[in-house]
Amino acid sequence: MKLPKLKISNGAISTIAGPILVLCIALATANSLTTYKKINLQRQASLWAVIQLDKELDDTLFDAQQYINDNIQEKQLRTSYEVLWSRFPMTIKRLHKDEILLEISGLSQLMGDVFSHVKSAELMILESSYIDKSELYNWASQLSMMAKDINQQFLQNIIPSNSEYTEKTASKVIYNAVILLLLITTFILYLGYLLITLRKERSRNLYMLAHDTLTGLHSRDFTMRAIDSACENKQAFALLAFDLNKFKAVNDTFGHHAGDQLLTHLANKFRNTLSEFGTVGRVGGDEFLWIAESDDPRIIEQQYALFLDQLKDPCIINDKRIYLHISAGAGIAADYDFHPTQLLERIDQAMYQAKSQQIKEIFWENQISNPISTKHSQSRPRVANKRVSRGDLLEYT
Amino acid sequence: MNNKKKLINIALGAVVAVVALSSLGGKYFLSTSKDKAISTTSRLSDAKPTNLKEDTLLSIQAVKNSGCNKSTELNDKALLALPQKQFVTHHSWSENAESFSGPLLEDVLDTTCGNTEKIKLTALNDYAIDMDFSQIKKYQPIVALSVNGKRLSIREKGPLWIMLPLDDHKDIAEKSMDGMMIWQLSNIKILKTEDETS
Repeated sequence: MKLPKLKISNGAISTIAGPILVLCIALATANSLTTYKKINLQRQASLWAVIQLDKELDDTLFDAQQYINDNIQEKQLRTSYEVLWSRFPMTIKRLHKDEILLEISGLSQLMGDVFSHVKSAELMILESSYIDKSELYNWASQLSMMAKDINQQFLQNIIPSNSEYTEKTASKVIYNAVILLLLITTFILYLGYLLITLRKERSRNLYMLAHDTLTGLHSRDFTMRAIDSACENKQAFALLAFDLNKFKAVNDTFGHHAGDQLLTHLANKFRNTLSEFGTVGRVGGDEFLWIAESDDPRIIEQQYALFLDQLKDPCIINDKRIYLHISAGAGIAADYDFHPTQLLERIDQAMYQAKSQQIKEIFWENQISNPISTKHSQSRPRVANKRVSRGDLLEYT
Repeated sequence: MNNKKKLINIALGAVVAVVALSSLGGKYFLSTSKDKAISTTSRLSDAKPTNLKEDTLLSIQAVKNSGCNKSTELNDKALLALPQKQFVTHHSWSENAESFSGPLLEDVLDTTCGNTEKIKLTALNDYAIDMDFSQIKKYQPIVALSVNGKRLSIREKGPLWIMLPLDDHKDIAEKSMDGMMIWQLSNIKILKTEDETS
């Protein structure tokens, strides 16, 4: 059975990148530490092996000298020789385990040469009943030269802090540390990327909270908070409530899609005019609020005239022209002692009155003829839900 | 450049120390504390025993104030005359398990002094270690004369090699006893016996 391919989105990649990076850092750390430890142990073991061999060489050379001077017996020299012989395979094996040591210097080669030289004396020292002193002397002086060579190599290329061996071990450790550092840098960059993404998302969310998704005007929540804060600051402003006339009828007749187009069209008109002079928010299906920065009715009416002028252009839906009509109720915040609830109730009443009397201009709340008490404000006079004939709304082109 | 290296070494060293303490460390520290039974001494402090008999393989001397005042020289024959023990074990110098045989170290020491507590073992090349025998005794170390049925030569870490039946004692941490399993053994000094303390 064929399984559907897993589609990994960008989000999934950035989600798994974090744990993978952390894992890589952990591995790189472990690698660095083990490398460092291994190098140190290896260095110790290599040094120890060479020092031991050097000591054995010295001992054997000393015993050869002692034998030539008749101070020791053949047996002791033979034992000393055998002990020296036994050291070589161990030392060479040890050095072959040290990759860095193998890379540099001819130490390993030199070791092999010295071992060959030691082996060459096997017949002379072990097999013959009498060890020829002049032969032994020649062999020992050559061995002494070789021992010096080993010492020299050791002192120049391995032990000092500026030697090739130290440089190579250090560079190996640094190489590992650099990898670790790079991974950590990548991780930090990744965290930065995450932070930027989160900030972007946050600002997008904040924008969405403050705006109405359909019309792009301010949201109900934002508008109400803006009114509250303006009232709190006792900032002079006028509040206007708008309602699109016969919107429900358009919805019923042409469908919701047409209704949406109508609202977008209206929102554009708001944005072009009234938004310049304050804040316009969509607070309900076809209800809008304008927080006007001015509290002078004359100025507000001038600004509103600009809006009405724009509204003369019909909205064209499916090649049909629809003319929009707005009812507006207005009030001045200072008149209500910056009390938002009362102000909102009053302008609502004014707007409904404008609607019922089919007034096209702004209807100010102090013009309300039969003030409806706030207690009854909930039983707003509703527009008769009559179905509008198309002729009321449209003119066919 | 050197200073940089030093700094890196110090920094890495610190990190290694922290990690060693937390994770890898446990094992490491355990093994070092166990190693107290053995300590390596300078090779120069002991002169080679001279005037050995021609066929002596192992010489044992009790030092002054050890509670015993004897010395013995054991040759091939004397060592083979002691009860022989044989076992197969893995060890650090070979990849495969090998069969070792020879007398118990305890029996070898008993030829000179009984109830030995502390000894110094010296190899042909003057490498020497001090051993707390009272602690090691329970593992029954032997003085191996043969490996895989073949007599040990000097070239094969012989003629005498202290060997422990490591495979029989799983409680011994790996390589923790390596320092004690001295090869090319040639001399034992008895430093302390129980007789002295009692």
